[in-house]
Amino acid sequence: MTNPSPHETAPNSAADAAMADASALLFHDVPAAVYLRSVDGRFLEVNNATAALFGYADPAAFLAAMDDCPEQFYLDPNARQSVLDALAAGEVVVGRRYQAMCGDGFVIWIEESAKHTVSPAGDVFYVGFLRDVTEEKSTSWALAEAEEKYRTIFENAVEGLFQMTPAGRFVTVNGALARMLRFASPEVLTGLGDAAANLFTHPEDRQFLHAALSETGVVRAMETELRRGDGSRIWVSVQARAVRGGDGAVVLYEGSMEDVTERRRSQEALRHNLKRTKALFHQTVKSLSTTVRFRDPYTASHQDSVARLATAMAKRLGLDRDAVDCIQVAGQLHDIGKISVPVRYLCKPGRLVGLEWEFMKQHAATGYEILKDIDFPWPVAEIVLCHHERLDGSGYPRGLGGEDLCQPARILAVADVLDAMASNRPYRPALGVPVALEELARHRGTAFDADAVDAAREAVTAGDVTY
Amino acid sequence: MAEKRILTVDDSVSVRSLVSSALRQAGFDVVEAVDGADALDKVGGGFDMVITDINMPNIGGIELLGILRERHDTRFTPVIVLTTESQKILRDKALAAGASGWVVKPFEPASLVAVVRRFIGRT
Repeated sequence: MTNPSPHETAPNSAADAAMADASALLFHDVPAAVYLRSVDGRFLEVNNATAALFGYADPAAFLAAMDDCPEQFYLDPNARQSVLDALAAGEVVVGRRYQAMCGDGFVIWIEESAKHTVSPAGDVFYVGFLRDVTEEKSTSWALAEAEEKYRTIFENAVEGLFQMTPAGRFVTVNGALARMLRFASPEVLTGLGDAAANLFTHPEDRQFLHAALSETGVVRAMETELRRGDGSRIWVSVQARAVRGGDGAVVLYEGSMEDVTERRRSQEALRHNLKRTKALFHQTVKSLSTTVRFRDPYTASHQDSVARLATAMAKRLGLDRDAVDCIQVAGQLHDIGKISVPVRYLCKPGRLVGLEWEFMKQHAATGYEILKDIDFPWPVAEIVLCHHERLDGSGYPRGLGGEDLCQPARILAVADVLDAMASNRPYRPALGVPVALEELARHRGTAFDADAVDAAREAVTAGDVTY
Repeated sequence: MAEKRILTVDDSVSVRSLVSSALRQAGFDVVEAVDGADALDKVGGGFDMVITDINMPNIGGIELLGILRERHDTRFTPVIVLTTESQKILRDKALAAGASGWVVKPFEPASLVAVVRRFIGRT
């Protein structure tokens, strides 16, 4: 005690009084709740901290409230009785915890420690110490409640959730995953141990999963096929992240999987359908092209050859798949308009003159008319209309110049001329490939596209097309 | 005397069942609600007391308290808050909104029964 006394030389009684004052200060102002009660359990004196602990303005208010209520601040009468019984039996009460009622309706958790004591006059009292432990108690409870909440989310999730060791053992799975994989319960699935690794029908997928998770820590939408508990197969999409141990090694994967079997099946069906539709398209084009055969077999086979040659040229020019398909279809149908040309002109040996020639020239426009209403993915009718145009404007029907002619039309023009000269025609025998190439070379870069002429030469020389 | 009816509101199923079993054993009639919105659907039947959590989905405890105090049929129904929150500022807000008491979880069944009895007496 450092409280300086002004009466240092005073007689003993004054010193005793000062000590009593100091003791009172110690009792009332110590920042811990302390009480003195009689052996019948009544509170005789409490300090300020005790009053504050229970929400009372001062010790007097606390004492009055306790006198009014037989249970005092104890909510469970047994808690109060057992403290008093223990003290009466001479025991020291240490760290008893129970709920207590404050003056303002607040119910807190307190911890009580007490022992009995004897005054100099020989009277027995109980002295005790109270502590607010509400926060301690509620924190652990809040944690338990939060855990329950997350467990509920985990167990009721629609997606299959899992924790898996790198060896393939399921550590934790939810009900949705067990159902998805057709196991009776999550426990059966976790009970498989490392054998669960065999659920992957493609073991390399599991190795990939491990490699990807070690490398980047995350895997998204990885599709793999699994064996189910009943032996059937399922395609799943896996999302997972790696959980690493202290040494940085991956110790656990956790994530979710979703059944994508249906989606994959419909994608497969869609792919199949598309393939069929494409085949149907090419068959239709071919049939259309064949209609010419019944009046004019030469034109029919000419269309087949031009389609082949133009396709080979387009490939040599490095065109993409779609452009090659376009050229093939245009080649296959480029002379369809000859349906409107009288057969006697088509087969006439020698030059066509006057009206005959006018009739013949009409076939490009007729082809356009026949094809223009078909919704091809490419401008097939336009290309057919242009297949007799020349870069220098000397062609027909419109006499267009180079800048107006698209690449497919340029390729088709060259293929048409080469095939016409290299093949037998009804009106003359074949002139031969060398003559045809010579003719093309003569007009290379003027009437004919230079690249197309080169491609035609390469295609024929390399044997892509034979005559 | 008819059993006193108590509505217990908590989004945790384990807390609800702890409250229910403690109060049923003490002779109270208990109805459970999973959050404030559910409580408002059920409270119409006339309850002697409402025991509510604070942090819940949909309608939380403080908001529920405010609505109960507005409704003429629940204006004077004692409401005890049962929560893991112990902050004085929240507690003062609840008391100002008309809460009768504030019990910090966890709770002893006997203590909860004692609190209820202090507010609405014996069944």
